Amino acid sequence: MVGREGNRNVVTAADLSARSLGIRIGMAATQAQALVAELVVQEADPDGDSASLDRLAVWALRYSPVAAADPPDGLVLDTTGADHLHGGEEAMLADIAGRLAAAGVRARLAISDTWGASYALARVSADERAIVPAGRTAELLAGAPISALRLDPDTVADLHKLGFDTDPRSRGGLASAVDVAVRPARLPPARSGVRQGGRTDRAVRPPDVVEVRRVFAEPIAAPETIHRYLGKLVVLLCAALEEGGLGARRLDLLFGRVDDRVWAVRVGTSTATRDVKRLTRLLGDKIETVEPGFGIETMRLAATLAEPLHPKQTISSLTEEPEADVAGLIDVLANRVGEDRVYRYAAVASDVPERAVARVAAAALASDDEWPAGWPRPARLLQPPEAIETLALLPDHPPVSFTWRGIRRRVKRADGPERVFGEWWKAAPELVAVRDYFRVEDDAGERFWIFRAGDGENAATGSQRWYLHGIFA
Amino acid sequence: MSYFELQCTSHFSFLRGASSCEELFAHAATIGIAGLAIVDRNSLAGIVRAHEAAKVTGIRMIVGCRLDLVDGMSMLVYPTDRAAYARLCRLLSVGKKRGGKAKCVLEWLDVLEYGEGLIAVLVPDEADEICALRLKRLADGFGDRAYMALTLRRRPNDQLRIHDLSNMAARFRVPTVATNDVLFHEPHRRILQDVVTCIRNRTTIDDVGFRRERHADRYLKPPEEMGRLFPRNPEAVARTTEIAARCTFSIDELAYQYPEERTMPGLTPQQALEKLTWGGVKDRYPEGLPDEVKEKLDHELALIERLGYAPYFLTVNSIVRFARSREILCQGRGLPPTPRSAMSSALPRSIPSATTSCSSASSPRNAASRPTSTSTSSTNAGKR
Amino acid sequence: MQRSAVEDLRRRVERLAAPRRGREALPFGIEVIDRALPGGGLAVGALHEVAGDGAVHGAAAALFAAGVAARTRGKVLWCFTRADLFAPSLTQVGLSAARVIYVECGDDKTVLACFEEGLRHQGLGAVVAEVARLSMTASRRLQLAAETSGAIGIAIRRWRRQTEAADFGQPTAAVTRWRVTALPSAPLPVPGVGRARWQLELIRCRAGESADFVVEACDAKGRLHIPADVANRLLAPQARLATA
Repeated sequence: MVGREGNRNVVTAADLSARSLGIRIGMAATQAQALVAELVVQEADPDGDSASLDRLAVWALRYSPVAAADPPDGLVLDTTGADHLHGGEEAMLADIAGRLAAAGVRARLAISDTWGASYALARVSADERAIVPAGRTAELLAGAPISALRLDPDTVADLHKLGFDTDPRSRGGLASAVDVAVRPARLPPARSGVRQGGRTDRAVRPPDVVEVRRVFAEPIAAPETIHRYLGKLVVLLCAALEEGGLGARRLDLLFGRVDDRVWAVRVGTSTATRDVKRLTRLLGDKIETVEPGFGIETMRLAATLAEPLHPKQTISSLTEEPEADVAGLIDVLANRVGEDRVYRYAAVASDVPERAVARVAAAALASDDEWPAGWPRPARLLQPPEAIETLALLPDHPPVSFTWRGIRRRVKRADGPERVFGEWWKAAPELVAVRDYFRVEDDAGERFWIFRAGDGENAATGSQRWYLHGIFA
Repeated sequence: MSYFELQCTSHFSFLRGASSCEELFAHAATIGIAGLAIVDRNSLAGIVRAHEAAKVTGIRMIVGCRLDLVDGMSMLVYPTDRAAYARLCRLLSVGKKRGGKAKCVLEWLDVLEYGEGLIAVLVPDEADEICALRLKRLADGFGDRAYMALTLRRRPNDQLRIHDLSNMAARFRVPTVATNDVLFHEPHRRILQDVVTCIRNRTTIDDVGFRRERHADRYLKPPEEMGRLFPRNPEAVARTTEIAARCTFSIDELAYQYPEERTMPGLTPQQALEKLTWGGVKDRYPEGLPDEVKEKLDHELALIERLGYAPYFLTVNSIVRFARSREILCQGRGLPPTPRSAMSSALPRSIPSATTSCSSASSPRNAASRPTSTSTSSTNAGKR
Repeated sequence: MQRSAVEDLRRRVERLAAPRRGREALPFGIEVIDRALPGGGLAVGALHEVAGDGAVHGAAAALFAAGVAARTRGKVLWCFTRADLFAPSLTQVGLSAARVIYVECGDDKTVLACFEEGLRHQGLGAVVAEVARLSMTASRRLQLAAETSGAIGIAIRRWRRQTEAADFGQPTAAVTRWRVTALPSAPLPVPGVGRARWQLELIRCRAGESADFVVEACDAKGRLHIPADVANRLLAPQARLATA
């Protein structure tokens, strides 16, 4: 990519292959073209780039309520208190990287305690996805080159002149001036991710969102006060939602602090709702994590994800007990452990035990499908099944004894075989694969579910090894 | 040890069985099964093919059928003689007439009505109340021709189920018989069986779920294997031979039987036809029978005798004579060309329409058609 | 028809008016067991503990809890750290899949928090949680929570290490404490495994005495039974007295 710098045309960006041929950023365009004959040159479009970066930042709001573009090529997200909604930091980074890749954007990501560290790590870390555990930021930054730190270029040049390539703090004994310059702005346990740091008061907001805010003449800090105003905001928001016929699925509560930092809290619900009590409860649970610092100046509550919600008749008859509404409970639990950790099981019409259950959303409607009754199934299923040693006779007979986790058990009684065929339409090996399951009881009365992979006669049907798959009551 | 597999479903049980009769019999012969009974669902469609396959492979074939009644009861029936087979056919006709296309609606009372001479084997599910009721009425209705099938499914609690069924059968004094409920001839055919189940249920293999056949081992098993699988019920395995012995009916016994013609007592139909023919010759050829015509007549009569068609001619003769006596016009109708041209000219006027029906096969242009016109004109003359 | 509707309404009003639901109990339907429990059954609106058989799997404890939950009404919450419960087995004791909401937590602390959350929520039938340790303090909170909602709370004690096993000896605020161990099944005349049997021990019972029972594991409706041969032995001494 070629752009103008002053009155020269210079290279502003080069891909891997170009770089390997010697092209460098800042090089004169004519020189670059002379170096590589078949060089493909495109004109840089900085305005277009910046606009698309902004759009990307708006997209990134799905991961955190606080997101900002940081030109020329970075995004910063404050993911404190929001990563749990995506199954943890690792899962969230994987999700972001995956979606960006699907859109054709190559990204390097890093997440750590501070902006600066994340910025540096995103640029220089060997991993494309770097996660720094809380509190270990300093040691991981120790070996990072100075140019990667969020310092202005003059300071970097001066440090280079002084002979420092990496953070001088790691060698101990510093002049206080250098110290201040190098250490990034201290932030309380906020976990920031992706690339460069940017000031989060420039955080983007999507348009058309139902939102209410409150500005305080005197900054507030006490938890009870926060709770009280939170309650009032929720009432206002629900009224606004009702006007629009909407229910909230996700709420972002942003606190603007005196020191210009924004603190965010995010909650999600399984069904659209505008129930004041429920939403206040969910947000209230998270208030303990908020750090007011020197004081909170503004509180902004937005329903960043909303769906149409129409009132419906709940009680059908006077004598029938209404089905207790567990949606509220599900939300509280989901916001505590993560949305995908609260679920129900539904039946899948498969004979293979580990495929016979599927997780569904906790609030999903019950389906009619059921597991076949009458075929005893164990209370506990081991995934994966554990190998056991056996002493077995003929194919149709259960083993005489088996050894599991070092303990040998004699089989006193057994039922089976129950033959489970592979699902041949799923994978080629399952065309002939077979498992012969036996329910066995040992001398003490403990009952187990074991199987042989194969029919005991034909080698093609399986490895003929034995496994323990479940424990009966 | 001798074993007969008495419960085989061929692919004539449409979209249920997955193997042809040829495959079933061929495989059975290789593994040493003494004979097979093809029991298709509410149908005898596979019997002919099975019969032929049996002849080719040299093992016995027992005619049978599986009746699925509307109240959910299923039973296997085997005719012991020709009369019983006839009754079975009539029973199926009753059911199909009631049910319409591709359906068969049968009730227990129908089975009782046509059940004489049939051996009936109850196909049970669990050893529960319903099974007890069905077993009781089977025992009452069929007496010593009633049995109960024991089939292993390779499912939980199989041994206990067999045990309970066996006890229940003993309680009602119904002997048990071992079967394997065969759907295909060898294990690998299971996949095709899944596919036809999908077609039958109008669904894809991903969605068919539990509508697939869930019991395992639905293929032909050799006698030693069956003996090993039923260690506590050896008599049930032996009873397959017993039932096979009782079913002496074979469809060889069915030959097409033309109704008897009794126009001339004491003479066989062939003799009667010849008598009429030679008698007619005298009328037709008063000046004497030309040699070539005689040769042709001899040839044709020999052909008719060999093919056994004499009764047919006599029948037609009776029809025409009756028609003429009532002055009903009878005419020749189109038939494929036959070598009966000589006969047509030789036969006397008394049996002109026999010739008519034969000779009208030939085109009106050749000489043989003249008798046609003659007969027609004589008929017309008769009308006048 | 009319009459029963009025009866239902009356019963509902009574229930709403009752100050504390702790007096209600869920009977097992087996005389010897119900007799040993105050209230004639498992106290509703209370916390109970069940321990497994020490094989760290707690399979029997899980099905025992499931059988109890099956006989309550409403949804059931099941909290755990290890997701190895096989849902079809719960259906086989009468607890249908549509009723159970699973909560997979990262640690015991979260399990207890979710346990409490569930017990406070009005309208659940039972809340089950699998934990290794249960302190007196934690159990008190749970008991109070259960009293407010009237749900049955069952803590299944499951441990991985022997050190955790020792914790089970410590007292808690649970109203009853049980242990379920597998026993050999009923013998059959043919190869097979008969009806499962358990040694059911009532180790601790508030305002009651400890007791021991041999039972047949839960049937398809979540009910326990006394095996026939054991029942006869129980009757025999009385018969002897009668004839004396």
